Amino acid sequence: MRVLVDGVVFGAGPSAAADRWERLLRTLAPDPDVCVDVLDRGGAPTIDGATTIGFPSYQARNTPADSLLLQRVATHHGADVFVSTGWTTPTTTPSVAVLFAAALPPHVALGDRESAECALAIRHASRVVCVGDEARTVLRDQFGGTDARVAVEVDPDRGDAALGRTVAAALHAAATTAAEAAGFYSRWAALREIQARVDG
Amino acid sequence: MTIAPTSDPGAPDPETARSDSRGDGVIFLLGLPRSGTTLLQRLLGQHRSIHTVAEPWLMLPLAQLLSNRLGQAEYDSSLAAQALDGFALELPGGRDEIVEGVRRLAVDLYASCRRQSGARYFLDKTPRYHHIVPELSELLPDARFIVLRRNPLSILASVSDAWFGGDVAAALSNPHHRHDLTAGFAHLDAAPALLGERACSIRYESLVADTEHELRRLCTFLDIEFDDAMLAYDPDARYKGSFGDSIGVPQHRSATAASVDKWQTTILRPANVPAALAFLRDTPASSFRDVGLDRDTLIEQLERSAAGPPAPGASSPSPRRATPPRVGTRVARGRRVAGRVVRDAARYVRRDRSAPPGERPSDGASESIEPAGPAASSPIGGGGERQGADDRVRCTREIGLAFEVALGRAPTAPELTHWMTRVDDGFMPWDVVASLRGERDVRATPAARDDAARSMLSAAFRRYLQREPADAEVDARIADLGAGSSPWTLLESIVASPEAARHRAQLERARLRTLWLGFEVALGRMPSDAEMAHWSALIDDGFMPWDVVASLRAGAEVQAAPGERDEAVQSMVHAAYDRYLQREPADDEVAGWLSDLVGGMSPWVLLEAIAGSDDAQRARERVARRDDGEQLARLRSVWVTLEVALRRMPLHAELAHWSARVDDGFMPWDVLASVAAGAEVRLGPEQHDEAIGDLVRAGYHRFLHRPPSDADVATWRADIAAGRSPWVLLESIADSAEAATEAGLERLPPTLLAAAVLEPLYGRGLTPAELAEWRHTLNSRAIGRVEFVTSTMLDHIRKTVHLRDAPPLDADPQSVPIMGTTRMLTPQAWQARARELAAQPPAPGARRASGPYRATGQPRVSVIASLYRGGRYIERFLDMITSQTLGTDAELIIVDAQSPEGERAVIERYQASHPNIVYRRTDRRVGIYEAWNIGVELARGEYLTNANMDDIRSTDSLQLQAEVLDRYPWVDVVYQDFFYTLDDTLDFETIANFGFRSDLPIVTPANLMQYNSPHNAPMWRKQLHEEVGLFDQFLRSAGDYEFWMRCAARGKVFFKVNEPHVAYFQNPIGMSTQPDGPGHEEGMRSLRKHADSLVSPLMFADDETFRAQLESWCGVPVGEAASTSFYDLAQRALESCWRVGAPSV
Repeated sequence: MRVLVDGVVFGAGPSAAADRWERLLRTLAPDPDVCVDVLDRGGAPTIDGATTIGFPSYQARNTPADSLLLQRVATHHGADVFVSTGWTTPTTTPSVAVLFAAALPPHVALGDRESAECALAIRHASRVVCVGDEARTVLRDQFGGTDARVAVEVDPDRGDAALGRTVAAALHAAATTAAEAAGFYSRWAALREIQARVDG
Repeated sequence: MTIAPTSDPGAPDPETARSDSRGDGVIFLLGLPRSGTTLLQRLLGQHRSIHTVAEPWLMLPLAQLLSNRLGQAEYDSSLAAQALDGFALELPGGRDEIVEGVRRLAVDLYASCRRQSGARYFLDKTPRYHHIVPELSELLPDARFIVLRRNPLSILASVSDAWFGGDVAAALSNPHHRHDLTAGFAHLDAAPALLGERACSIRYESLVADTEHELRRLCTFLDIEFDDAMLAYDPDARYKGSFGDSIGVPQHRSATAASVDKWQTTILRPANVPAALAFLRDTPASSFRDVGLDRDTLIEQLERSAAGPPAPGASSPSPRRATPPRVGTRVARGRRVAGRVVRDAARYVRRDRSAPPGERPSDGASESIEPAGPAASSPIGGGGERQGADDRVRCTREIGLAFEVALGRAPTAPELTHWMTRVDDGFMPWDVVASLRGERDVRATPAARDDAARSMLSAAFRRYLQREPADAEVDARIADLGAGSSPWTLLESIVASPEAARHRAQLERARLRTLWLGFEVALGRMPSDAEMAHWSALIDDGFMPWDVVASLRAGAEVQAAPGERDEAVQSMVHAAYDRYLQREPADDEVAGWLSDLVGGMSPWVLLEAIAGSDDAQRARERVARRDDGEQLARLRSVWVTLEVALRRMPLHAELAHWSARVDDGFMPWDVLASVAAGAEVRLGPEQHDEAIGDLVRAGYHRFLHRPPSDADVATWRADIAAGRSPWVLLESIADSAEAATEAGLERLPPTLLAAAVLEPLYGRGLTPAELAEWRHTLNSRAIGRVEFVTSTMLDHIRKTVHLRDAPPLDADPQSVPIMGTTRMLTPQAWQARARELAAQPPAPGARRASGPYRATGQPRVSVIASLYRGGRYIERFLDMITSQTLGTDAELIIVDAQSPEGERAVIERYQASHPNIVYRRTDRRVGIYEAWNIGVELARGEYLTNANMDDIRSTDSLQLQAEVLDRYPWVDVVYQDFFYTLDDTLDFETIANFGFRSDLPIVTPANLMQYNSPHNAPMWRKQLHEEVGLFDQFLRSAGDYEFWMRCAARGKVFFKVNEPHVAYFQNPIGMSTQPDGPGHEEGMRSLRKHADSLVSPLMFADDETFRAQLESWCGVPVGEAASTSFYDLAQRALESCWRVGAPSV
């Protein structure tokens, strides 16, 4: 299974959230069933066993265009699943959203472009992994609650390996939705294309 | 066969005598289309006491006399209602007298029809009566009502199957059926309570399960004896008339339960489930309870069965099949309209001529013209069946259309004769088309037959209905052909349709009106009947209005010369203004009409447009008011006052109430204050001054969408103090030219208005961001539209004058905004950073290193450099290029534009050790983009990049760019963030340490209109020039920007390399840094040229069209708020898309 991870959190420079993401990637990369590609939007670490792919830096402007470009790259590299940090979304590749509260867009309740994109990332995801109670609270309070897709709420104290297993399980589950939800993804792509056309 | 009356029409009618004037002999069968009303009608119609015909639709127009809520007409229905109310005031019995008159008419008509059979009841089954249940109740209080209910999902499925090929989303998005499938259920839910004992409800499911029991129950309700004959009907029989179920009922002889669960086949198709779920959620739960179902259970059932939407390409219907609005066409038309409206902002006589054609009423299929049924005597291939003059007319018509389809022209008389002969030999219409296309008489192949039939149908729709057919309309006729219809009657259902008749009537009316005016202009008198007939025939032969005028003046039938044509049009416009508007036209108005004619407007609708304009309507009102006295004027005044006070149209009861109060002495400010207070108040004289101000402000807000100036308020106060009636105050505002113009401009989508006004002023196209902003501003009514037009123009004039008088800009050529950020790089900031670096040098190697490059030995990348006065930089430039990691895989092409600084010697020195340097000196001084084009011609590499002499690149710069183009074949242009420098002596690493870095966005057509992101050292595929062309060499500074616009307009993909590997020297003497340089003007010119291609037509769509576009994709409504941006509406659509079809694990 080829997994494309958006390294958007590394673009903002060193942070606790970036450290946690780096550890998660180091946990996932050795998995023989998972081939990890990391999009480097700036500042992405080099991960043994993972491939780093350059990608334009993240900006809150032109997010629909960003999404369409993400999909092109995901398709080009044959990604089976896209891993979203809650900031970005592809269109037709199934996705898993891994939410760390500290790495979520700021001012998420203010209705700005970032939080709207976060809402889309959560909607698009076949599986949502909340890391810690705080992320779960954000999901519940600001994005209309949890649903059946949120099967995991991880205690961050359980360690990187446990999180890696949870995320890996979510990735495998999401990969199975590609054919089943093809209609949903194609409608999503069409709407995103329309949104890009009317985006100032 | 048709169903005939069951008894002698001439026999005495003992039952009729029982009917009274309140509708005792009338039964209304209320039920939604496709709910089984035709079946129940058939069963009830078997009873000898019940007479019925196909749907009469009689009460719909009559009910409109009682309420103006029922729809729009080509005339202003609110004015009609207002006028009728005024008329009612003149009747001794008031409105009750109108009700009584309508009642008498309806009862008489029903009784007349019923009298043919001597039956006791007349059963009126018209499904659209669900709209007018309250009016029916009031008009015929003694009528009986049968309310037929059915599982809403069954109705939805049946509508979808019958008219939309099983596509539920398409059925729900159809504007006519949407009413039935939404409001219809609520109307029927409310009917039993409204009608009380006059109504009897029946469920379709019960009717087909136990027909006798249900019919006995209805007979009891109707006070007639049950008759066994009601249990069956003749499936081949049809009621006289046009409408009714022609699908299910004819398949059976009695009620059958076969259809009860049929809905599941349609609804549970995966592609239909999302739309059906949305329908379920939007339909009142009571509509399901009434038929013994639980809506939530059905929702659960559908959600369970939803195994996800179908894969792309699946054959089941999907929301995509709902034809999206043709936005591009609308934009093209809208832009033309917008330009005209703005140009004519001062004249306000025209009404909207783009209103869609009227609708033909039909049971459910109101968008379609019913195809002619199979003609038993005319099977396909039976061309010899034509008989009589009618057949010959049809045949002529079909041959004419065949010519139009095949050759784009009408047949000549000999051609017609020839083809009539061939038809007698058995040629079919499609054979005619195939023969004309093949230039020899041949029989069409089956494929050519279908293609020709479809083309002819489309041509017939365009000719006779002035519109394109819906796919279903064509498919139905093609299916009829397959079922045995004669091809020679193919067009009859179109030609003979009410819609075609309406178009013919409109055209005839326009021609007559034009003919009258032509006589008036040419001869100063009206034409006689004989003259009308004579000239009408000539018009049929192709005479135009100006030909008529010229002929009348010349006393012979002549074609007008071009000069005569314009003069005739002007005279007719003058005559029309005089007649219909009671004034002379302004010169620009006449010029506008002439321009419209030149632009393609039909001369036959010109006078219609004038006669039907709002201004003409007001002129008629003025005359009517003058003639009819003050009563109507006062009513109008009260109406306008209430409209202002309530901020909406007043209801009839409100109008009556406040008219009475005005009779009691209430003044307009009392009405305003009372409505605001929610209680009746009278203001004292000391409050009147302030109240006038409130009144003026409210009137301006309502009709002009702007506040009045202090002078406006003062003028009104003075006028009223001088004795002018306060009642005319608001009416004057409402009738003002500005209000009329405002109303006219309101019809334009805001983005079109903004573009039409601002693009000529700005000298460029508006960016999507600007369009979105103006859409929000105008929709939110923060500014009225007239005020927008006038204030924008005034602002522009002020700015132009200000700029003309202002001193020249004193911009610092060494300061530069950092692209993609809000920061500026200034000499001060640069020096401060230099001091920091001197104090604390950065650690080396922070930049990620490129991987090793394996050279191929062939030039893959061509670096194109234009050289003119580059002596200062040439050596460093050559060092930079020759030290690139690409090595000999990069060639350098230097096009020397006759530089006087002798760089050639240096270049030749480098050429000695670097044979991949190409030097070409032009024989004349050429511009930079001509030099680049020469370089493109010389280039051997598949990738191109441009380089300036003062550019600074890292050694792996070309490698980084080429690798992206190598990796992604779908990327056309690579660009990158870059570092700025104010010091051209520094190397790349040092400049990078300063850290003044751009933050460029992903290039989109929209943001490319705002700035030229790829401007600094991009790399692109040479192949682009074959597709997009070379650089515009007539530009001096913005040729690259213009080229990128062309690329973006053609959908080329730009990709940004994150890692900065080039530096940009802010050259204080460079052309692009000069405040008065050509770059700005050229950029504006390029934007003006390419804006139409860069801005999506969606930006100019009206709200409804855009929502429809979104809904066609996500399958559910996305909301109505006009002030919501298109972007946010798309966001809502994405959320809705998730709600109805999210992936699940």
